[in-house]
Amino acid sequence: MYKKIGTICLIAGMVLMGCGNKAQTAANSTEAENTDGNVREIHYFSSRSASDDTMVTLQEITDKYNEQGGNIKLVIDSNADRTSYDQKLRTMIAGGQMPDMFDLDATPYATELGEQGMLTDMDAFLDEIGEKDSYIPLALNYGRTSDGKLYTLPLELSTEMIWYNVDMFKDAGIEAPKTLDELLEDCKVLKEKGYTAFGIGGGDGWPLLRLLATYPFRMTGNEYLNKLSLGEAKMSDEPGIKAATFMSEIGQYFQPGFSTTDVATGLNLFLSGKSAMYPTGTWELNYFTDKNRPEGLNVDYFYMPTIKDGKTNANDYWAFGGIGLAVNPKSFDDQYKDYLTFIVKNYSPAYFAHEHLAPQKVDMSDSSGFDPLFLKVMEDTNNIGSTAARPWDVVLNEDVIATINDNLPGLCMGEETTDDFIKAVDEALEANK
Amino acid sequence: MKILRDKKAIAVFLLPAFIVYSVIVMVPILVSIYYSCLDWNGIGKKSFVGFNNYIKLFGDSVFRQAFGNNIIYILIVMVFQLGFGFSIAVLLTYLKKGRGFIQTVYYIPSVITVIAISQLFTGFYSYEPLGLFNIFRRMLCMEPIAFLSEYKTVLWAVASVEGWQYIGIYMIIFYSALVSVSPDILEAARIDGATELQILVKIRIPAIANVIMLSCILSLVGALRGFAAPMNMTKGGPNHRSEILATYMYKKAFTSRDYGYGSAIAVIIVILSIIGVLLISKYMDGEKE
Repeated sequence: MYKKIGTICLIAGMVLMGCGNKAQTAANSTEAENTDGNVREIHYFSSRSASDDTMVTLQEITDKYNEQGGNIKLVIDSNADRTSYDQKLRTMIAGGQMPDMFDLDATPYATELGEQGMLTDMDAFLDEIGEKDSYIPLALNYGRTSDGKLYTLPLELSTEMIWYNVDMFKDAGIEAPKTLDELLEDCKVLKEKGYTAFGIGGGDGWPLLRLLATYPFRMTGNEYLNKLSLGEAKMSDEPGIKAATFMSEIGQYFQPGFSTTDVATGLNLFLSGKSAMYPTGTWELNYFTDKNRPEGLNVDYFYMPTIKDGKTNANDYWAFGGIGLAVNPKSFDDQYKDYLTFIVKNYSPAYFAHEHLAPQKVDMSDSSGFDPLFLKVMEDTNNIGSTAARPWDVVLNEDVIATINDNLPGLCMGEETTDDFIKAVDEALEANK
Repeated sequence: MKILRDKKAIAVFLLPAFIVYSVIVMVPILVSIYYSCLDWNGIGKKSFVGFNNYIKLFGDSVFRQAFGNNIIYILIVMVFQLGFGFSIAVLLTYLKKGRGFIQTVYYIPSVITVIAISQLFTGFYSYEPLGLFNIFRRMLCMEPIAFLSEYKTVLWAVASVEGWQYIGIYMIIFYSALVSVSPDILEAARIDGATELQILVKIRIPAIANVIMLSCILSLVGALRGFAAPMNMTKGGPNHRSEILATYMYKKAFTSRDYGYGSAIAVIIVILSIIGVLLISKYMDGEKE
């Protein structure tokens, strides 16, 4: 009898302890709600670092919105490691935990989400608030998926270039290359002079992908890339072979250990005068301005070199709206819509004030306070050609990109042949048709 | 304490642990088995494909490479953890002063997160700027090596990190077992003229055979589940040279969004862990007999 009573008491005790905790948690939750009042939390899962000026600008605008009677708390979860960000986002969405707001490229994945009705249609939203014409078409249309739909808002306008150390180039008796052949020749001369030609963040994937995509873009514009994505072209086609051959040649001029070097280390190598060239985009422009650059470091830049008889011109190069802002349609109610409208109407002037190219047209009548380098790049952007190069990692299936990322370092190091590389990519393309 | 003689009471006490274990261990394994029979990209419809994902594994050259790498990875990790752990433990039994200090120093890496250790070693292995190992090489008039990029060194470089990190745990386990061997037996052996090596091989090691078996199992299963160091340091690269089953599973599931295929690799890892444990257990039982 006593045993039974003891057992029952134990079970009851355990159950009561569980209930007690639950009740306490519920009480805490209610208390939290009361303290916060009616503040609406918008959870933004971002691929940018918390100190990035896009984040800073969004926070500034949120503060301004709240000053004017809004009641929004922007909760930013920042994941600057892009690979990790993509994986976390996909896992969250697969688990039914889509954030209110998140960064998304116009990849095949975005197309799939859009087809399932899991993304807010930004064409409709911008039409509704009458702001579509305020965007620079290059920035806005970059966010369109392969079926022409727009599910993201651009937060930047970026171009990519290759920075070079002017003194090293002078010492080697060379000038900024105009063609890809000249680029290879310059690398050879720099190596003979004892310089590391390229400081590249190969561990982050995309810098190598950009170089791989250069030859095909110069040969065909974006046509070859689009055909690859549709399964109508192979890596073993002429542009692909040229691209792989180019990578096997230029790879020998990268710094040793490039395959595990991140972009930040690549930048440091260049800024500390340990490499002659560094490929990057306008988002890192601040590092190269007169006031921020290390003393005694003379730098200049050149855009994507051309090829003989190419289809694209010298003023066609990497230019895009950056990773865009996507919105969860399930939480996109009137309050959220009002907040997003405020962002769209106020974002670009505020972002431009941080000396960045903005995705919308802004008043540039007074440019006296801006750095000359920023104004020079902005001038280049005004003269950009009609065909902007599209990044491979945005257009191609993620499994194909993973295969390229896995196999490209070996090709650049000379450990794998171009045939091995092409075969691996073609197998991935075939498997993901 | 009479209550503990009642089987129902024992069951009641065991129930919470059993429920927690089932929820956090058994349920994910069962769910993984279910997912491994699906073709699902994380959104949209899930289609049942039976054992197709497992059949696909046999034709996957990267999976075969990851499997081969994993065996080498396990060997390196076990040599580090068990070999060094045991050697240090034996040396500690002869130490009269400073034993506690050495134990603490060797144990510290075990309580640091793997990610921090990986970052630390990425710095040590670095070519540019020159890391600690390359500074040593240069001091010895040897050329620096990009440890994490070279095909020949990358797998050793990432495996030795996990091996090194947990040396302290095995050192503690072995040391505790070694000092539990009766001093009377050891003294008797010494009086009979046995050397210290003979005492170690013929008395101490057989006396702690169960502990060695347990350590082998722990080390093997731990190495088979190895993931954070290779993923953080090289992402399995270059060209899959440091790819192991867990990193390949993760990449397939979360980068390529092939959740079914990724789950099939996960199930294979579970099966291999169970086989490994059974093999060691059987071998040790045979040794005892």
